[in-house]
Parts: sequence; C-alpha cells; structure tokens
Amino acid sequence: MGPEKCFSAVNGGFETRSLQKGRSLVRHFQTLLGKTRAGLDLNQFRNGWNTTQNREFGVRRCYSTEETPESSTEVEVELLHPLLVQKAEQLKVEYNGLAQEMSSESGSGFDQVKATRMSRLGFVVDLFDQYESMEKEYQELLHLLNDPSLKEEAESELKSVESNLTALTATLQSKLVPTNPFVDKACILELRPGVGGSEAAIFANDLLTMYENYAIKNKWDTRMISITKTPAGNGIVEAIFNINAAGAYERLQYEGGVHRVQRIPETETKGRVHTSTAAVVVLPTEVMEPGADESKAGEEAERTFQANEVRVDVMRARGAGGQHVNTTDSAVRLTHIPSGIVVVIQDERSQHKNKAKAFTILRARLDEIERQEKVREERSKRTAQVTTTERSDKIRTYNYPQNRITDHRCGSTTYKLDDVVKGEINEFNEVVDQMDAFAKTEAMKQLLEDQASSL
Amino acid sequence: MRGRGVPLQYIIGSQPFGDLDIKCARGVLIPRWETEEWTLKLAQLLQYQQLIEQDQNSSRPHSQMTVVDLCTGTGCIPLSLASKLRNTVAYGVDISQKAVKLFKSNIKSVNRSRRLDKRNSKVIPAQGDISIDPYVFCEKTGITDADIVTANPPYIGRREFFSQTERSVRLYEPHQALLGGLEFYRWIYDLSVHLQAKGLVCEVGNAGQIDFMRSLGAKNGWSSSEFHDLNGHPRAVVMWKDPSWSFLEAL
Ligand SMILES: C[S@@+](CC[C@H](N)C(=O)[O-])C[C@H]1O[C@@H](n2cnc3c(N)ncnc32)[C@H](O)[C@@H]1O
Repeated sequence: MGPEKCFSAVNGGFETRSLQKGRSLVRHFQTLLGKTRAGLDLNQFRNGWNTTQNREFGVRRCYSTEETPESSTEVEVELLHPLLVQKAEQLKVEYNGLAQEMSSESGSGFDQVKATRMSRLGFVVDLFDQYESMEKEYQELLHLLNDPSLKEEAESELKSVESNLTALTATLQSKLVPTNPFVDKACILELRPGVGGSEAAIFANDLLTMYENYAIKNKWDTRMISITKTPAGNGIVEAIFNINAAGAYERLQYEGGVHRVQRIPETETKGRVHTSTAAVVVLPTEVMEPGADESKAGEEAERTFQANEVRVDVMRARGAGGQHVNTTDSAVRLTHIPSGIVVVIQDERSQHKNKAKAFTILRARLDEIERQEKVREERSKRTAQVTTTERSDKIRTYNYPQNRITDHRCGSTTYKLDDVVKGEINEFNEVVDQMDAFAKTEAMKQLLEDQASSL
Repeated sequence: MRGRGVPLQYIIGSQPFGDLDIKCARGVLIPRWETEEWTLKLAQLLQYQQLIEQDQNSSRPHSQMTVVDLCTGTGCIPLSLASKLRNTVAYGVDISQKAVKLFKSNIKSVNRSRRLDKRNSKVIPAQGDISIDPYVFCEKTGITDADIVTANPPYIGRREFFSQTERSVRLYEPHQALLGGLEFYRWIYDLSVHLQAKGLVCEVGNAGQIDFMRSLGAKNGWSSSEFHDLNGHPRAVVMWKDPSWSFLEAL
C-alpha cells in the first residue's frame, strides 16, 4: 500500500476514501465522530447507510495506518446495523412499558402472557444494554488514541473491546433477525438464452463460464447436470449446473432473473452495440456428501412424489421395444401433472441417470416455487403491497464497451466487468455483497414495519 | 460404421446399466433400458427387504441370498443385483461362450471398484444350456438352489423377427440372443421349481408370454403379477412361491 491512507467506515455510509498524504487517518475518523458526538444527529449518521445501500452488512472496517503506513494494522469491528439498533430500541420501550404495567397491576393478579413476553424481551434488552455501553467505551477509546501518552494502552484495550463488541453484535443480530434457513444450502443454476438470437446463447454461455470459474476458484464441487450447446458450439441452448457446496446458495441466490448484455457481437460487421439477454434460475438444494451416488439422490427425489403425480416419458414409445430395438436415445421427459412443469434430460447415455437427474431437478424446482410462495404469503400478510424488488425484469446489465456492470435492483455499479465475468472471487463477491446488503436492508425495513413483531 | 447401422455400443464398447458401465462386444446382446428398469427396481425391493430382515433379527448374522440369472449375456442383471445387495451370491448362466467370456470381464471390472467385496457379495459365471435336464444342469453349473431366479431369455418369434425388429438389431446382434418362444419360459419355470426358488422375475416380449408363465405357476401354487415398462408395454412376469416373497408384487 502506498503512502496514501485509506479509510472506510462501512457502516456509516462513507465511501472508501483515499486521504491525502500526511493526513492522519485516525484524526479524520475522529473528526467524523466528533461531529456525531457534538450531537449532530447520530441517526442521520446511521441512516446514511440506507441511501448508499452499497455497503456490507453490519460491518465497519477501519484501517489504521498512522505512523506505519507500510504495515497497516487492520482493525475490524462489527457493529449492529442501524435498523437493528432501531428495532432493539423499540423492544426496549416495549419492555419498559410492560415492566411498568406489571408493577402497577401487581394487585390484580399475574398475567402469564405478559410475563413470558417480558422475560423474552428482557434477554434481548439486556444484551442491547451491554452492547450500548460497550459501544460507548469503544468510541471513547478511539478518542484516547489522540493522546500520545495514552495511545499505547488505548490500543491494547481497543483490541479486546473490539472482539467483545463483535461477538455481542453477532448474538444480538441472531436474536433480532430471523435466520435464513437457506444459508447453508447448495444450489442448482439453470441458464437459458433470452432475446438476441445467437448472441444471447453466447452470453448465456459466458454467464455459465463466470459461475463455473467462480465455483472453481472457491474450490466448490461442481457438476454439469445437463448442457445443450448451440450448433456453432460457442453458445448454449440450456445448461443446468450443480454446485455442491454449503454456502453456494447464499452467494448465488441473487443471480436469479434476467441478465442483459450490451456489446458488439463478434459477428457484427458494422460495429454496432447489440443488446441481448439470458435468464438464470437459482434453486437451493441439499448438500450431497462427496462421492454420494448421484442416482441415489434422484431416487430419493422420486420417492417424494405420489404414484400418479409425475408422468415419465421415454423416447421411442412406438413399436414393441425390448429386444426388438436397440435405442441409444436415452432422453427422459418428466411432466409434473399438478403444475404442468416439464423437465427433459438427454445428457447421459444412461436413461436411468437421466431420469434420476430429471427427478432431482423437478424436486428442486417445485421446492423453489413453494419457497417463493411462502415468502410472498408472509409478505402479503404484513403489507398489502408487494415490493417490486423481487422478479423485476432485468436484474443486471453487463456493458462491455464501458467495462461496467450495473445491478438494477440495488442500483450499484462496478467498472470491473472483465474480472467479474472471469469469476474472480473478490470482484464477483463485491457485486454480490452490494446486492446482499441491499436485500438485507430491505428485509430489515420489512421487519421494522412488521408491527406484530415476533421475537 | 455407425452409418452402416452398427450399434453405437459395439463401437464404444459399453452401455450404462444403472450405476455400472457394462462392456459390450459383438456376439453378445446389448442390455436394454427396459431390462435396466425392472432390474433396478427389483434391486431396490430386495435391498429394502434385506433391511427389514436385518431389523428383525439383528442378533443373527445376515442371511445369505442366492440369485440365479439365466440367459445372462453380458451379466448385467446379476452384476447389478449383487452390487446393491449384501451377502449375495449371484450366478449368471449363458449358453454362449462369447457371452460368458464377456461376462467374466465385466465381473472383473465391477470387482475393481470393490462394490461387491464391500457388501460381501460375489458374482459367479457359468456356461450352461437351460434346455437340458435340470439335474444335469445343476451338476454342470454347480448351482444347487436359488432364492430368486431372474431371466431375460430370447423372446422374439421368427415371423416377428423380420417384421418388427430394428435393422441394426437384426444385422448386428446375435440371433441366439433374440430368437425364442414359449419353450424358454417353460425351461426357466422348471429350473426355478427345481432350484426351489421363492421368487422369479422374467422379462417378456408380449402379454402372451406372461399369461403362459402365470398359468404354469398357478397350477403349483405360485402367485404372480406383471410388470409394465415406462412405455406401457408388458415387460416382465413376476412370480412368488413363498408368501414371504409377496413383496415382489410391488415391482
Ligand atoms: C436376450 S439375451 C439377454 C442377455 C442379458 N441377460 C440382457 O438382459 O442383456 C438372451 C441370452 O440367452 C442366451 N441363451 C440362448 N439360448 C440359451 C440356452 N438354451 N441356455 C442358456 N442361455 C441361452 C443367449 O446367448 C443370450 O445371451
């Protein structure tokens, strides 16, 4: 790292900044803090987070490079997301109210419901009190760094406070936010070209390569379930791809939707920029044990269906079959009768394997539909209007001439398209993180709007 | 070659069958997906039955199971069953020398993956003609008894052979593996009785063959059912002598 100092108060809504030579990072940080401490409105400081939307969830990173610009010591602490602070404060108000009621009603008997609620809230309120005092201590320590005579002690003290604070944040967070049951899942990706003819098929293939590389670089176990290439060989008609690694779904869950590309196709002679699209579907799946039998998974999936729920069609339905014919056509077509969903797999020479794969995919698709149903139902229970973030038509644009990727859902833009499409972990993660932060903020907003908050 | 109608499996040298890659060579019939379908289902049923038994007599050592597959060809049926079941001895018998040789080589390659050892199972090849006297047959093959007999005998009649088979089948697959009729079902039934089999599963080409087998068995107290393949064709007759083997009906 050069002599330039860098500062990133992620949680506060400040972009990463390069400070001018000679200026002290810590001092800069303190000026900011000074402002907030001077009562300039802590909430505004916190709410800044919402509007930039492109920062990581709940993490404030602070790189201290004072005096030793070459060997920067990274100080990292996780603070509670502002919206969660808000929620905790609400709960505290409720708790105090209940406490008061209970004591004033002491004569009129014991209310079991209120008591249970109170003891539940008490646990969180207690944690939150600890958190607040710890955060205060933390900020005071940051102040002390200014004083050369106290700096050393302050620094060592800071270390322990930071780790305590981070741990508290994690506990509180888990109490305040319902946990996502899908974080540990593996996933299946389905890719298909959209509008734009052969260029769309090429783009779909590019996306596939991106995901494959990203998975490989993460050392994730991957498996092509089914792929149909275009006759030219440089595009795909369809690809179904399994990443069998816990956490793969967590990283790729936002990939579902229509991706749009703007570039000059290789075949374009006049140098015009074309726009085409490709569609991606992401399905959460269970993680299979390494070396587990693929067809066994299919058999298990098959067992989850009723006898007449799925129609299985195999090729060459005409003629006597058996010893009379020797077919190498092993395609299997499943029709899920209640929903009309059709899965065709013709990838393997083995009909048995094709059938197993088809059942695995059918199960995953139906599970995903069910999951989305549930989400929608819960949301409509809470608010009359359904947010448009989900399933908006174009989720992302890949603009090659500008080397730019824009995510239309969270509004973030990066100019590292080349690295992202190569599946480079850091660059790809950046795109995901921005969307993740956005989605989580949205989820938390929902949570706060939810008056009948369950705890 | 492919253009002339040579089956792809003879060119590549193999055909997937369940989880196995079965070697194929000219002179031996290529396993069909219809056979694969019922064989895998049967394996599942037997597997399940073994689990139940194990639950019931957890103190006793696992009981042995003997499978005898007649007209075994590449050996795809006994190999599939033995690679899925525990403590199983699976015999495969064929009249053709070429078939037995290929079967042996298939046993070797499946053994290499330790699938059989792991389950304490083994597959034994034998050359034999199922049309001869059952006593002589047993003497020659060393088979003394069976829990279950399976078979996919040649079942295409002469007239059908010219009118209803695919050209490449007619030209490139062994006629001995294809041409046959009710006599084969009679031999298989007689052998099953002789080996005191509790169950029998036999592939067929038409419903008449099923009816023939069922009527043979019905006279001697066998229960039976039929299996239809994914295309809806009658594909196998399922019979059991021992009431404890009625689970076969689920095929
Ligand atoms: C339709 S093929 C079945 C091969 C294998 N079981 C399969 O399903 O792929 C019939 C087999 O029966 C054998 N066969 C024909 N006549 C026989 C006989 N009299 N005794 C024993 N095997 C015979 C043939 O050599 C051929 O391999």
